[in-house]
Amino acid sequence: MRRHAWIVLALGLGLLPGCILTSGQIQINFDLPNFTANSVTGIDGTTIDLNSQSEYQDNKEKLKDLSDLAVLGKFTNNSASAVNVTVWITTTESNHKSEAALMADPTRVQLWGPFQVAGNATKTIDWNASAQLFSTAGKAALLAEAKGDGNFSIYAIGPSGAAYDFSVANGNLVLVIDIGI
Amino acid sequence: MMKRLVMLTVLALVLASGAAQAGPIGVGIGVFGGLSVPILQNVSASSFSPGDAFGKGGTQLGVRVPVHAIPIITFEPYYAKASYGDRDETIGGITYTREGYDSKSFGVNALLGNPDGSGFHFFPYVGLGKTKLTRTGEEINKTGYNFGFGLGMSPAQKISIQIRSEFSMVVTGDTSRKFGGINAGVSYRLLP
Repeated sequence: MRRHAWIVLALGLGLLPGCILTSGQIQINFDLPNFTANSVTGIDGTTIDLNSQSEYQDNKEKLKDLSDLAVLGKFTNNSASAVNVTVWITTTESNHKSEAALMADPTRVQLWGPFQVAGNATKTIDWNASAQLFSTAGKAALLAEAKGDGNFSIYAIGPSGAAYDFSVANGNLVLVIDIGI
Repeated sequence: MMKRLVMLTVLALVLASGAAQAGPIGVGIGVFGGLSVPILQNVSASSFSPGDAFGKGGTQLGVRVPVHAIPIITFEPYYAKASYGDRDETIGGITYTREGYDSKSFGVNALLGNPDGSGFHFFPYVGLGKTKLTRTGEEINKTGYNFGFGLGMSPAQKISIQIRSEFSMVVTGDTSRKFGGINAGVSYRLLP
C-alpha cells in the first residue's frame, strides 16, 4: 500500500515541469517622482530603469510574466473641471516636455487610465481600481520592457485638446512578476 | 457548475466500471470545509522572511462524490470554492489594500484506497482540475493540480469523516499560483 502511495504521488508530480513547482510571484515597487501636467505649460516625465532595483536584477533571467500591476499615488486636480488622467510610456528613453511631443513619439503606448479626478479635488487611487485601468497593449509593452533592457520613460497627461492642470504625488509603479526558479 | 460535477461523476463511473467486475461500485457524497493560504505570492524578495511565504488565507468549501469501483483507487469528482483575504500594504507612505482571489475549481481526485471504509484510513491522493481565480483587474482560468494526504475514519455505518492536508497549484504558463490548505469533511455512502 505504501509503495502504491509513492507511485501515485510520483506519477502526479512527474507530469509537471520543475519550473511550475519552483516558481513564485515577486512584487517590485518603483517610486515615481512627483509629476505635474499642464495643458499650457507642459508635462513631466521620468525614465525608469528597472535594473536599479535589485529584486528585478536578481530575477530578470527567470522572469516569465507580469501577473499584477498598479499605478498608485495621490492625484490632485488643480483646475475647476474634472480631468481624466492617462499614463503613457515610451519604450525608448525620452524627455518630452509637451503632450504634442509625446504623441509624436512612435514608441508611445498608453499604459493606464483614464482615471477621473473631480475639479479642485485630491484623490488617492485604490489598488483594485488601478489594476483595472491597464490597457492590454500597455501590459504587453511593459512585459516586453521587463524582459528587454528594462529602460522606458513614463508620463501622465490629460485628455488631448482639453485644458488640464494636475499633479501626482507619492507615485509608485507596482509590478508583480512571475518567476520560475 | 453542478452540471460539470455531474459530468465528472459520470466520467469517474465510466472509468471505474470497466474494472468493477470484482465487486459492487461504491458511491458517496460529501461536503468539506477548511482553510487555504496562498504560497509564495506577491512576496518582496528584498525584505523576505519565512512568514512572508504565506499570504492572507481564506475559507474553503466544497462537495465531493467518491466513486469506489476498483480495489485500490477511489475516483472523486469535486467542486470547491475559496475566498482569500485582502492584503494591506504601505507604499510611498500610503496604505493600500489589494483584494484576495475568489477561487472556484472542479476536477477529479484519485485516492489510494477507500477512505469511506471502516476503521482509520491514511490515504494519499492526486488531483487534476480546472481552477478560476478572480479579483479586480485579474482573472486566471487554468488547469490546476493538487496532491495531499488524508486521514479518514468511520464513526457510523455509511458515514465517514476525513481530515486532509493539501497542496494545490494553478498553472500559469511556465509558472504557477500555489496554495496550501487543510480541510475537514464528512461523507455519506449512497451505494452499496
